[in-house]
Amino acid sequence: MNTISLNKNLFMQIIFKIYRIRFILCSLLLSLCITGCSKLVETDSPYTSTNAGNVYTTDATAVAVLTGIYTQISSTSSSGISISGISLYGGLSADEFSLNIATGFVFGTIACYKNAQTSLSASNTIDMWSGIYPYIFDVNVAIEGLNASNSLTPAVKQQLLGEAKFMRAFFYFYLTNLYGDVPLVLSTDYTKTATVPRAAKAQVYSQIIQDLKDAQGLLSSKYVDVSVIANSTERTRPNLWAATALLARVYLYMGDYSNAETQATMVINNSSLYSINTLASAFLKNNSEAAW
Amino acid sequence: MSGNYLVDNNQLPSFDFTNAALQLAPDAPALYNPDGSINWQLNAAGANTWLNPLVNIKKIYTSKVNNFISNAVISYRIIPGLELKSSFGYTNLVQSETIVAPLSSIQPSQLSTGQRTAIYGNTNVNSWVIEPQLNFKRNVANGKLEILVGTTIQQSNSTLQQLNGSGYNNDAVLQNIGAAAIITGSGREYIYKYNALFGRLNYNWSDKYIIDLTARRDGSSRFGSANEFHNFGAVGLGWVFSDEAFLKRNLSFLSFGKVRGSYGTTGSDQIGDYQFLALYNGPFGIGVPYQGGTALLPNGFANPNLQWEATNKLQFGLDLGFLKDRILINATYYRNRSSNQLLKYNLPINTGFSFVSANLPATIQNSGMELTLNAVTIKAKNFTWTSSFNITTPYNKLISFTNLSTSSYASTYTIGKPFIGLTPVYRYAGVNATTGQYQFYDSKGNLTYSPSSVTDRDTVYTTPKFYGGFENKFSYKGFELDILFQFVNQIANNFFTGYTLPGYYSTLAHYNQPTYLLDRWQKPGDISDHQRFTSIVNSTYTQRSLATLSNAAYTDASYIRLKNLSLSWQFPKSWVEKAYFKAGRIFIQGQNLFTITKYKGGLDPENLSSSVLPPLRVLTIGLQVSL
Repeated sequence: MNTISLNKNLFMQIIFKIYRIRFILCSLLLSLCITGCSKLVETDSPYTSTNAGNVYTTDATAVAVLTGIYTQISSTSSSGISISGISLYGGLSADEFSLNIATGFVFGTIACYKNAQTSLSASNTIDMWSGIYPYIFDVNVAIEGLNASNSLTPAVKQQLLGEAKFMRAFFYFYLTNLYGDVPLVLSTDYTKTATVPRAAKAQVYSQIIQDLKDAQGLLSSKYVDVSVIANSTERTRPNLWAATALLARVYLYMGDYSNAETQATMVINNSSLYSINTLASAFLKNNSEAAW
Repeated sequence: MSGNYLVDNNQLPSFDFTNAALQLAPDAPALYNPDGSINWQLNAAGANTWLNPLVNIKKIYTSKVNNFISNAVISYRIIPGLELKSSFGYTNLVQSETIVAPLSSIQPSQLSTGQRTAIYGNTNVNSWVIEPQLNFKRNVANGKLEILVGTTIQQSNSTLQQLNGSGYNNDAVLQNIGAAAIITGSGREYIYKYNALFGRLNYNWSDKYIIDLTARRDGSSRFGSANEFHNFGAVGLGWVFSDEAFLKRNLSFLSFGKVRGSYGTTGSDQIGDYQFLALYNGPFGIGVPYQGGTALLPNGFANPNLQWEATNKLQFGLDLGFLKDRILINATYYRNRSSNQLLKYNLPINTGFSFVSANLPATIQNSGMELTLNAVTIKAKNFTWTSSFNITTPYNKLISFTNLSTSSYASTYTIGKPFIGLTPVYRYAGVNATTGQYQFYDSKGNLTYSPSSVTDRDTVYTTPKFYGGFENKFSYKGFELDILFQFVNQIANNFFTGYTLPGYYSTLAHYNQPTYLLDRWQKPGDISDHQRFTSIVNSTYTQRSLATLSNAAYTDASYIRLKNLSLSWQFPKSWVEKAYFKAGRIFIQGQNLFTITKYKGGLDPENLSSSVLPPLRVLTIGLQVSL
């Protein structure tokens, strides 16, 4: 018996045999090992989704991000825990609404709000903030992505940035009115935003005013369609006047009546777009009282 | 080469009624009308006055699964001792599911606005794997040398599609998506690729000394390009000491004895696909697109730094055989230290999402003893009795955690303490006979109503201390009897304070309460283990909340369960031959037949839940014939 080392003879024998029989699989195996494996491991992003690397490179996909935000806030069911639920639950606890018990029994959250059986320590309340912050993230991500993009049509980029700033002001306005001091999250970096403390209400308000003033400088004075360039009769995307009207309301909540009046007057004076309507049509879509 | 094709057609209702039964009011209306239909207890206006839980069976679920599995192995011996081998595998899983909600699944009061709906889901997963390897065997000196080099190339493509339809005008057309007035849909595609290069060297000297070395380089598409690959390796040593001449002479009752030890690292990529990428998807279930346009939203946080989870495994073992291997004992001590655990790292929602897929910057140790004993208790001509027993004593603890105090887990974990199963609890001190409220001890042993969450808490450890099984098999001629017991020693939540407070006005569902709450405190002077009830948020409510977080809420939940009992009879050869069968057998089998436990609280000590259906007692009677 030959000992210990794998002798040279044997090795040559192996090589010879492989060569002689031209064993295809074997060379295939060797080539796989040599060329390394990274080609076999890399995957592209799935074709059914867009990603941060390409979404802000074309006008259509960039617009789709803002449209996504409107889609979300408008399609959440009325009992939603976010923006869309505020008027329902606020109205229920203020006795603006009553529940039609004759046609069905009511239970759960709606009944608790109706009967004012809510308290901050109990499980009955809805954490509106936990529904609003994800929207604020979507807006922040859009602002960061739009600012970093160089390939969008300038007019599209400007309108979208204006819409995003308007939406951020809109969300913080409701958030601070519900909760007072709230964490002021303006970036998407979770390593930083995870530990952001609550900011004073005054600081939140000054951010809201800043965002709305930025939005006024960016937004179109006309209502635009889904291309965000062409005009539209549908009042479904915020414009300069929506930002101005919200700014007037923000000043009003702050007690800054002179500024509130200035901003409100600007909207009122634009009589070609806005006028007081009859009660019957004031709640119809695209009526002359609708700002956004 | 092998192929396998499975077809499954399932129409079982997917709803667990356990919780609904626990919530059903004692004075609830009858579930069914005399004619067998669901009873809605309609009022004068024709609206239902309660929500009948049986409405859930009116939704019809169907699932069809076709699963094709194939394997092939090709091997070629190049020269004696050197073999090239490759295995190929391909599987294809196609599943189509539908959930249809006919008009009868809508409560009468919502019929005016409610709609028939249907959900159609299609899943298609096809995956393939190729594993070529070169295997070399040779006798070197007094031992056998085995060297293996190989690679694994694997890919899995999954496509998921879902269509939701609503607004059908007839129950009969619910299976037809074309009949829906509104259709919404979503599609997702996932591609997973895995690649590995591995080598193994094994040397076995006279079946006495064994050394085993392995090394591998694993790559996964679940990590960003900088972290796709990771190297792992292991070394193992074994010594069969019973073959040593001096032991053979002195310990003749020992038929086999081996000590073994190993140390190595292994990896895991068990996290979702594409977590390192910031994907955008359309919001799902939107019937009318906003402005008629496309919508896109971020899917979650991307973590480009995701990398392989690594576990260092240390193991020592002792295998002993006595009396010609009639008694076999295996004992293993293991200590696994894993780091960079892949998990969903909790984040406050004000960041935008509640988690990010991340590597936890922690080292967690799982250690324990595993002991197995197998014995041929009796071996006679027609009768055999074999017994086997196993027990495991697991323990885990947190070894290190970078920046624990500023992480999302600062109040959850403590270094040096168990990572899983450790719960901080207040120290329960019974019900005050005057106020009827729960009291607690503070750190100095004084009674208090408001113990501090920082200084006045102990901990309970809810991971099982040990668990195992005990199995006995008896066979006599064609009969075989198999008895398997399972046992667990553990502490678990006992739902001491009952379920959601009765009478409390809340969005939470109301539950029937355990009978022991009948003895609750009701008037000053009452001595009870359970405090008074309350219907509002007040100090009594707070005391109850504290009690649910106290040591009184945890109790011994150990159990011994007859997991499996089966009796079978093999048909005699003469019968089988006459009938031209290969073999035949009849059997009766029972699962979860009885349980010995002191656990009071949840429904079952095995699933430890107060609201989920426990493991069922199953009886099977069968006949098996091979042709």
